[in-house]
Amino acid sequence: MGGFLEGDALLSELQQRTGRLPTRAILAMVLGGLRVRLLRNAVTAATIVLAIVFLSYTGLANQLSYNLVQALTALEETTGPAEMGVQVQDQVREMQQLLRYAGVNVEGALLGNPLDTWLIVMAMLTCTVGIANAMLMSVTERFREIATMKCLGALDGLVIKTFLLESLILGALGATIGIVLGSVVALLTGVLQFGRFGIQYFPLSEGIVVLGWSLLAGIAVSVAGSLYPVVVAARMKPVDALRVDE
Amino acid sequence: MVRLLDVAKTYETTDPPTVALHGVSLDVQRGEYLSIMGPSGSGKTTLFNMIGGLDKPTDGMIFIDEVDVAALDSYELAFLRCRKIGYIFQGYNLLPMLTALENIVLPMIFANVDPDEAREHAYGLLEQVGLENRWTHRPGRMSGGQQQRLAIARALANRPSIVLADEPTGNLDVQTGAEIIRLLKELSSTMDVTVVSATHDHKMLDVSDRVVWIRDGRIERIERREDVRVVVGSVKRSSA
Repeated sequence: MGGFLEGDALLSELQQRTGRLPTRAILAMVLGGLRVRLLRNAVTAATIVLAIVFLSYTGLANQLSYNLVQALTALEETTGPAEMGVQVQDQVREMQQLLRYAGVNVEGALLGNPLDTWLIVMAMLTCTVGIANAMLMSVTERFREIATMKCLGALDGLVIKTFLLESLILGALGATIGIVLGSVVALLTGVLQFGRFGIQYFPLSEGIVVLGWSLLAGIAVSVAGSLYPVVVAARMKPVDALRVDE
Repeated sequence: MVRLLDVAKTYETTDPPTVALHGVSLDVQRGEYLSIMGPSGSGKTTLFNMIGGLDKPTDGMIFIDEVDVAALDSYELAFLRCRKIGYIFQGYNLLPMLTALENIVLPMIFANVDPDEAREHAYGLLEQVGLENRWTHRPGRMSGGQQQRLAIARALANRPSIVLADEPTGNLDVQTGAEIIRLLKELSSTMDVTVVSATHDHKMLDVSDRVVWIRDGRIERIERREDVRVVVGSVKRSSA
């Protein structure tokens, strides 16, 4: 017995592998953890869902107005009022009217709306803070679990990986639900506001770009919000596993 | 097995600094069942944490299996905790998202044991603690006694030299507590594992080879089992 830290090749190799888990095992543990704490995680994910609904809806709706205004401008430019058929004249009038009712600023729609950008930035920041708060609570609640893992030999890196993966999955899940709901809402309001034009000019290729960015934003917000809580978790000491309070 | 030389611990975070231990020396033998007793605030927990490699001394030296704990970095400490020490907690501390079997397999995976081998060994341990029919259950669906038995199996997974038990019967009723103590004693003698436990539970004294009484950061006395007579509800020394 004794002298197990002699530093020969085999032992240092063993030592390097101690306290690590294959990614597949970490993934299984994270998914299990998400399932065990389903309600709490659903609430956390809801924060992301709401922010991403807002982001993707705004993006899609703005793109729809942009498409409509562009189509209208194209119609007005290519065919002078004189040669315009009655049908086209009606269509132009109808589109102008619908855009006015919808409160779309025809000149502004092509330039993008600074107020929307501002609102989106604020929504993302609020969401990040909300995630940070939820994750911090989740981490402090699980102090015993984290400290026990360390007692069993887990390294700080494993704790960091586990929590980052958890926030990544929550972010991806929340953002996916968010972009689906956002698209549905954007399509419905588009139809309500612009009737058949809402479907005809609904952004498809540009919409995919918008949704892609929304998905990335959701994941980014979730991971960014988790950074500080993850550091708190990694710093927990194995001796905390003995605490009996809380 | 574990040797403490003049171990002192001062917590600087309080004002004035709290001296939890003043130069404690203690030798724990291989295969011994040692209980640490003492009122709260006596330094019992500090001593216990030192023996288990969970805390470093301010002064003095601690050797676990001939290795000076104070000289280890965090990787080496993780290695030590993973392979040499098994922990049993008052609150069981099982991982809720893992099944009974997975809870035992986890420390073995940390120790780089082949997964199939780990599962087989874990199943064997479950049989030894009488939970083989519950290997797919998660801890949330088990009673306190079952959870603690599972925790004992987990503590023994990497064939540790020392099992550290912090109030292992603290959350259990008298009868279940007695069963847990019996199981712990039985496994420690068949596997030749040292058991160190911090406890208030007088049932524990009955199976202990030695009892260390701590008061005000010093060892008040060390008693061998022969010298301790357990009377219902209290403990008396035979010499008294």
